[in-house]
Amino acid sequence: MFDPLIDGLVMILHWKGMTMLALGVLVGLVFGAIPGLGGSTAIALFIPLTFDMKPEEAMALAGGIMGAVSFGGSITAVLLNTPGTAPSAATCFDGYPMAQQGRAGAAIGAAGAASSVGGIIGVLLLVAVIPIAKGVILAFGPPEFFMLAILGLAAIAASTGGMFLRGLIAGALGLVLAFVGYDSVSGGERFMFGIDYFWDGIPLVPTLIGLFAVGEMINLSISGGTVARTRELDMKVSGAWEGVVATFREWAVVVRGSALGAFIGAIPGVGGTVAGFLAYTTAMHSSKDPESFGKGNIVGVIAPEASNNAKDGGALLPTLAFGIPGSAEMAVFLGLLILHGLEPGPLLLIEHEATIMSLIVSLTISCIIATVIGLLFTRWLSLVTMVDVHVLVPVVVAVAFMGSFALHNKVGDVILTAAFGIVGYLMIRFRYPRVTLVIALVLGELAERSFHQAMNMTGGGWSIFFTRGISLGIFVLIVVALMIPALRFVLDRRRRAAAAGGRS
Amino acid sequence: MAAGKQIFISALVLLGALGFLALGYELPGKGRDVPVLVGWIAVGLCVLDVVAQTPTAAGRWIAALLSGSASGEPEDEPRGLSLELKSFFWVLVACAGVIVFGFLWAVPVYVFAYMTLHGRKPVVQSGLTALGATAFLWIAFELLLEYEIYRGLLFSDL
Repeated sequence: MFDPLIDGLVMILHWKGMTMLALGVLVGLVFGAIPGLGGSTAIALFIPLTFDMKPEEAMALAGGIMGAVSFGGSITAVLLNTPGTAPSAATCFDGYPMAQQGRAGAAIGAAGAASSVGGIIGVLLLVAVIPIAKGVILAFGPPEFFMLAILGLAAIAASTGGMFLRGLIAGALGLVLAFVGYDSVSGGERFMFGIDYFWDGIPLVPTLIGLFAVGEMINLSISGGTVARTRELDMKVSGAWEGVVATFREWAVVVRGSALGAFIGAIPGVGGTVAGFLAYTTAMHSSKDPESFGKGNIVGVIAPEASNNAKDGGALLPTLAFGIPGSAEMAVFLGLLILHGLEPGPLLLIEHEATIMSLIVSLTISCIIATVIGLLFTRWLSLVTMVDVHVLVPVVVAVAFMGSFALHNKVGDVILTAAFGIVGYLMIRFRYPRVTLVIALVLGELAERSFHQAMNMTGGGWSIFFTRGISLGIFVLIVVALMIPALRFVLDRRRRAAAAGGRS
Repeated sequence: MAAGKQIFISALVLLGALGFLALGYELPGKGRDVPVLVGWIAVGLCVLDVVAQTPTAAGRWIAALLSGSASGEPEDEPRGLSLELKSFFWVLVACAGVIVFGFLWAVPVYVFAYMTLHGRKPVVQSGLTALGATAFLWIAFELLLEYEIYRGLLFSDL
C-alpha cells in the first residue's frame, strides 16, 4: 500500500515538483481569497501552463491550488466576513466575531491548523480507501458506468439548491455539446455544421476557461466596485499560535469534522459548503456551551475548517476512480488529467498509481505549506480582495485567452473561450448552474459509449440496466437524488406550517 | 426579475431543445439513439421550466416543488441590459483584437482601453497595468515556457 505513496513522494521531492507545488499554493491562496474566483477558475486558468510539464509536475501545481484555496477563502471570511469560497461561509459565523473581538490572529491560526490537519486526514482516508475502490471498480461494467454517469448528473443537479430543474436542463445542454464532432459509434459526424474545428468535439479546456474564468469576469465587470465590497481592514492580526494550540486541544472536533468532510466530499454534488455547515452544526450541538456559537467560539472555526480541507480527499475518489467529478473544481481538474493523457476511470488507479499518489502527496504537503504561507501573509492576502474589479477583469480575460490559445495553437479556441464566457455569464444571470453543464460535457462520452456497449450486450434490451445488482443499486440512488428537491419542499412546507402554528 | 423575461428565456431554451431534437432525428443509424433520447428529455424539462415561470397555480407548484422551497425560487437582482452588452462587447473586442493583431499588441491596448474607457481608471494606472499584464504574458509564456506567442493575422509573417 505504501510503495506507490513513496513513489509519489519521490516524484514531488524534486525541485521542479516543489516549485510547482509552491506556485500552486500561492495561486490557491490568492484565488481562494478573492470571492467569485476559487479553485475551479484557478485550475482552469493554469491548465495551459502545464502543457509542457510532466504529469507529476502538473499534479503538484493542481494539488497546491486545491490544498490552498479553502484556507485562502477562510482568511477573508475571518477578516472581512466575506468568504472567498462558498465552503468557507460557515467559518464567518465565529471567525468574524473573533476578529471583531481583536482575536483575528487566533481565528486564522485555528483555521490554518484545522485546515492542515483536516486535509491530511482526508488524504489518509483516500489512501486507505483506494485499494478497496480498485476492487469495486473491477466489478463495474458498461451498464454500471452508464448509470454512474447519470447518477453524477442527477446528484449534482439536486445539490444546486433552488436551481434543480435548470440544473438538469444545463446537464442536458452539456450532453448536447458532448455529442458534437466525429462519432465513433456511427462513424459519421454530428452537429458540426461543416466546421472542421469541431471534428474532435468541443474542446474541454477552452470551454472551462470560458465558462468559469471569463464568465466570472463578465459578472464581476457588471457588478463593479471592489471584489470584497468592504473597506474594513483595520484590525490587528496577531496571536495565531493560540489558535494552533486550540486546534490540537480540540482534536475530537477536528477528527469528527474531517471524517464528515471526507465522507460528504465523496458524494458527487454535495460539496464543501454542506460539509462545512454540517461540521459546524454538529460541533455546536455536541458542545457544552452551544449559546457561545456565533459569538466568537473558536470551535466554530475549527470544525468547518477541518471538514473544508478534508472534503478534497473524499472528492478525489469518485473523480479518479470512476471519472465522475463531484464538483466544478473536480470537473476542471479532470480536464487537467485528460490533457496529460491520464484518462479518468477504471484503469487510472491501476496504470498511473504513482502519478496519482504524487497528486495525493502534493495535496498533503500543500495543506501544510498553505497554512504557513497564509499565516505569514494574512494581511496581504486580505488586501487582494480590495483590488478594483476593473483592474482585475481585463488582466484575467487576457490571461484566459492566452492560456486557451497556448494549448493547441488554435484561434478557434480563443473564439470558443469568448463564446463560452458569454454563455457562462448568461448561465449565472439566469440561474442555470454551470457545474452540471461541465460535468455533463465531461461525462457525455462515457455515458454514450457505456450505453451502446450495454445495449450490445443484450442485443438492444434495456433490462440489463435493472437486472444487475450494482446497476440497479445505482438506479435506486438516481431516483433518490431526483426526489431530493421534492422531499426538501415537503419538509420546508411542514416547517413553515409548524412555525405559523406556533405563532398563532 | 420580471416573469415575462423568465418565460422568454425558458421558451428560448425550449426552442433550442426542439431544434436539437429535430437535428437529432436527421442523424444516421445508432449515432442518433442517445442524442434523440437526450433531446426528448431536454424538451420535457424545458416545457416544465416554461410552465414553472408562468404566474399560474401549476407554475407556482412546479417551481416550488423543483426548487425544494415552499416559497418558490428567489428573485435575483436586476441588472442593466446596456451594461451587460458593454461587458460582452469588451470580451468580443479582446477576442477580435487577439485574432487580428496578436497578443503582444492586443493585450496592452485592450487592458488600457478597458480600464480607461469602461472602468474610468486614471491613465497612468491603466498604462502601467497594461504593460504589466503584457510583460507577465511575455515572461510566463515566451521566456519561461519557450512558447512563441501568437502574433495575429496581420503580423503573422513578420
